[in-house]
Amino acid sequence: MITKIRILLLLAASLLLYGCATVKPWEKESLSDPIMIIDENPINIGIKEHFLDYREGVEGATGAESGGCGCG
Amino acid sequence: MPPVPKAEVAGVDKKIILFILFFFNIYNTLGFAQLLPANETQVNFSGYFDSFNVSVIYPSIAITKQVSESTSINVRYLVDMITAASIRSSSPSSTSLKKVDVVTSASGRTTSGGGYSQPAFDEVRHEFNIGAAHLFGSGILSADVIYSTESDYTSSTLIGNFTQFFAENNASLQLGIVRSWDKVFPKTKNWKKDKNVTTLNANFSQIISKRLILQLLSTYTDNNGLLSDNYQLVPISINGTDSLFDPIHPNLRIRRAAALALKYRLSDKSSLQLGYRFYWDSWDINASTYSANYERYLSKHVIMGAGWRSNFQTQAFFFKPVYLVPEQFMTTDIKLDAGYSNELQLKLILTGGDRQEYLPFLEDDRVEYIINLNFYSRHTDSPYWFNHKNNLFATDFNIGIRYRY
Repeated sequence: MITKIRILLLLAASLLLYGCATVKPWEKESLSDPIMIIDENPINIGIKEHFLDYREGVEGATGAESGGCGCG
Repeated sequence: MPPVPKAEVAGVDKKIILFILFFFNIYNTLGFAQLLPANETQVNFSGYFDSFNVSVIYPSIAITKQVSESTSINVRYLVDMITAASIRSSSPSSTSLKKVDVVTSASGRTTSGGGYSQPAFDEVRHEFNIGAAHLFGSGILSADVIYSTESDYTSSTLIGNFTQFFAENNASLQLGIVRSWDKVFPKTKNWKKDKNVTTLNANFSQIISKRLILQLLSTYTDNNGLLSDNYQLVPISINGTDSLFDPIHPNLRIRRAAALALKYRLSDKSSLQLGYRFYWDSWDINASTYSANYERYLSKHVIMGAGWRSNFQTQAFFFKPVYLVPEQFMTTDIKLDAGYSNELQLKLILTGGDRQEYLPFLEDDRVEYIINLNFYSRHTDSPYWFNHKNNLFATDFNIGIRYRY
């Protein structure tokens, strides 16, 4: 478990260092496209998590788990 | 993108002009760097159907409105209507297996004898959400209140988030706290118990290059109180007599998750998102979830998406397929068993804009139509205590209309 977390952090850190070269606003056009937005529609993401939350013991834990026992 | 001018224009720095030109185009829609939520109304109609005869219909409406230059408010209402919401015993803590009712609805409808009920809405849940977001310089503070109620469960939730943008809006850090107070009162019991959940979130996003965005997510959750699903009974054979017992879960569960997501622009028309999430909790459940999503423009106004998600998890330390005697902790909740799941995710987005002879509903460029269709399968190492099946197959869909103004 610890190893996986370390690998995750190492990968993230290396990407962040790579990202130290700032991207200017006028260079971000391609990033503003809907297909480049992570979780572009939060409501749809919530609907998806709602279903998964009741199927898997590891889903949820996202902090927005209001609601009851749902479909059991 | 138009060519970047090489000289200042009329004494105004090119950066200022470009900033103005692209402010609304980019700043408001750029991946993580979205400031106040856009004005929109979104209506969704969702459904879920699985091989365990559970059906859920799930309509919702959400409205977001910017009430000033620096403040927006949002409201949402949803209702989910569930068939065969839970496996419910008509008797208290212990009864003969042969007398178990499969479904005892809130309206009193029962179906006995081990078969499933005919499709009908067995339980209805209402959820109300109201929130606001306020812009402070290069940061956003948001707060939401959620209240959910159904026949055997109520939940009140407060959510607070603060997002700070920095490094010329190439990076953002979001810190959040969620606190919920739940009341559980199963139809088959004569008690009411509490469940309290506190979650802390820390999320970091960074634009790595003109083609790549990175997102790191971390979550810490403290669950305490009644953490079992009291419709998931535990069958135990004692002296040749089959009896059903209430599940007993530890009343504290610490859940943690760390996730990494990368979004990469493959070409002018396509992108790829890769994700990995590692989860671990104090009940000894560990899980790894992998995901990949591909999106592509089929035409100027049509985006298709296809994705795959796989999850692998270990079991809770107290989960057993069979209990021979009552134990300190025991459960038959199949979500806590070891297993894996796979999901195929399909998406189609139609955006308006051009006059189209055969599709007049796409003329308005403020409208977006969303269709999601997912196929899910789950395998657990042990069969489900009620129907003795190891495999669950499910389909869920969502049809949504988004209207921006």
